[in-house]
Amino acid sequence: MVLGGLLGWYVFVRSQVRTTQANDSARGFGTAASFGSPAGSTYTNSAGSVPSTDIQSASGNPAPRLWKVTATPVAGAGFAASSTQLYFAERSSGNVLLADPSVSSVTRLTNTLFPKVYDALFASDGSVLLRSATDAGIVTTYAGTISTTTAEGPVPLAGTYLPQHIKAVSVRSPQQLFFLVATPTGGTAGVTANWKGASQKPVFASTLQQWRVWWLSDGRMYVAQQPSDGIMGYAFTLKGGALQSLVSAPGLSILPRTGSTALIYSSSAGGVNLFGQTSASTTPVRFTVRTLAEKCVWAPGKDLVAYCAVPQVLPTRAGYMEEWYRGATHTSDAWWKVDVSAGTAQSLFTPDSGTSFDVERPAIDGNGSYIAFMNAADKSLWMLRITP
Amino acid sequence: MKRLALAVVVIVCAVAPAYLPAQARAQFSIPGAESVLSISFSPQYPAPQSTVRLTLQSSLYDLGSSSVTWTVNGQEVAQGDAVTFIDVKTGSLGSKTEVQADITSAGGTAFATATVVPTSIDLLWESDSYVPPFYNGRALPSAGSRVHLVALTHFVRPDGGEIPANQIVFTWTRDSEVLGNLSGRGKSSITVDGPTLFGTETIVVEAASVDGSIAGQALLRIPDTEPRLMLYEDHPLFGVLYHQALGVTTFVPKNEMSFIAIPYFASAVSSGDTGLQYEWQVNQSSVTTNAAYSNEITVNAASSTGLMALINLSLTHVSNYFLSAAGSWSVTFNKSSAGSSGGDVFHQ
Repeated sequence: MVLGGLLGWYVFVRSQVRTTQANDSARGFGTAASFGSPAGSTYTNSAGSVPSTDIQSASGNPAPRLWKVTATPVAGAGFAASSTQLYFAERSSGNVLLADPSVSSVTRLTNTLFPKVYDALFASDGSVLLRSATDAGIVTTYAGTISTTTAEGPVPLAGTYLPQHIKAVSVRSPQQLFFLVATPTGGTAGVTANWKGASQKPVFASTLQQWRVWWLSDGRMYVAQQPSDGIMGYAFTLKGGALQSLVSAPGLSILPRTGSTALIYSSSAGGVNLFGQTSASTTPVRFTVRTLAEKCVWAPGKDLVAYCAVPQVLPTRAGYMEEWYRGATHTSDAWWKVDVSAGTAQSLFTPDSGTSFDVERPAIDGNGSYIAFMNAADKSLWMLRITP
Repeated sequence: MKRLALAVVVIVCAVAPAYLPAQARAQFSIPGAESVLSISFSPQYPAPQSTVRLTLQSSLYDLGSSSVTWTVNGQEVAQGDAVTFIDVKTGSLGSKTEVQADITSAGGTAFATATVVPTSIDLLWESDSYVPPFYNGRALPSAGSRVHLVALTHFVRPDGGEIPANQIVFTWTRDSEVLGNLSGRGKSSITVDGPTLFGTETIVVEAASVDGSIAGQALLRIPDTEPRLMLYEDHPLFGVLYHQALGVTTFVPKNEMSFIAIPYFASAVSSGDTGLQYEWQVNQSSVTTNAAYSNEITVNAASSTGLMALINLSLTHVSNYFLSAAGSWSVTFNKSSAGSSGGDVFHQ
């Protein structure tokens, strides 16, 4: 009986070893396959060195017109109030840094670790929303404020976690939020709140969850469905809890403007078209340049001017927008200036042949001097001085 | 003869209330009088600032030999023999356009009137299929997923008041079948099963104010979408690199990498949904994964005799037999890369 037990155990262990060897072989860890080594997995390991932003001391010289602020991935950026200084958050650490193009410097402001930050939104005082996701896909949002910096260096980021499952959020400086939270029964509840998530006021409710939201500095609110190529999308002005139709189009993406009802929007249905209208009641004009509205940013001031990153090689195939969202395709963009009143577009900046960027999340400083943007291909951060 | 003609005039005096198809409404209830002279709309529910064609119809008069005069808001806009239709531009929401058609024929004279008040319905929808956090696009329905719909009505009375959804009766139809239990007063939102595999679902919502004076309709076709398997690097520091989907052939400047499969539009609550079954193969050999992270594998090439890993992945579901997706990626590693994490894709 003992011998039988031992034999059974031997058979069991041998079969398990075979299974393990087969798995290792497939992964490349075995010797049987033409590919692999018995090395361990890094699945639960962390890297030996942490790639981080190169801290640049002030050179005293202004940055070049096109400045690659950092090659390491960032989660988001936003200009400081009345300044060309740019706050940004590292994707790997959640640390907040400050770039100053006037002296070509990058300074680390905070040292509190928030790993794997997928999205960061800034208020003009440097307050930041750091958004991440758990392994189960639950979205978390930390609302942080930077305590007074000292000469000693970075300081902790103080703040609080907002409710989980925030599906969309918009920041209105200083420190006001409009966010949509998924409700347990499906749908979303939209509230305004302060930076701590308190003083919530309901402003929106929907049985749908896939929305984008805007809360502009003039107080106007917009919601728009998340777009899909060729599928009708709707955008609305949110007024007193009611939705007022703004625009609808297949593959709709919008860019509302603060201080006016002018609008830039794009439609993606077998090709991308960009439109502008000077007010809600005017007929939209189609620009000769073709790009997504989310690659544009309104210039401050009275004139209805925007800057748009336009793919230098036009993606004409159906489904480009969704492929772009999935990170399956990237473009090499050039900057154009579009005049919505005149319905015209003129080239602003074309990178040299050795430089390529696929613009996402552009932002502009309050004086209209610099555009900051992320390169969707690698999440690097760039700044472009608008005047040569 | 004169008496007869006068009687006909009275009988065919027709009023088509609101944007409903103009129907000849008889002033006296004589059977059959409703169809004597009527005005039909095309489209049936005109939108604001659009063109609607109004067509005169009669089962009694020979309109082809009748003289017809069309009047829009008191202004004569068309006149002549056999002018049986006109095109009218609608106004904004809540505007009212009064139309009258007068006919003179050998059988006598008659008129019909209609009132056009444009309406619109925005029919919004989304699916509950899986997309990863922070995905900017819409979730599309695949077999087994559900679809949420919302009808946003824009019904404005000529006096300027918008009719709220709770004062509107919604009738939902899916593929010509009325969804009785989902229809009713104030039922502007519904959730239905998504389209079947390779199918297209046609959803129609008809909405009418409680008093029936204003109505509209919207139609939607929702096609089935195949789930799309995408492969990304799951970076130990940066997380999933959703912005860098692996192409069919990819070179990675390191000798080890963790991959994560993302099943866009699959009927699942997460990419690690326990109902999803991932079957991995690397260079034709099956790989068993951690049950808790079955959509992830790590491949190491540090001491391999080859540099290329052919990764095949198929996705099925334990109970949803319609869910099926597959992908294949050829990944070439940089064997000379020092250490397991030394070669960082972001340091060029």
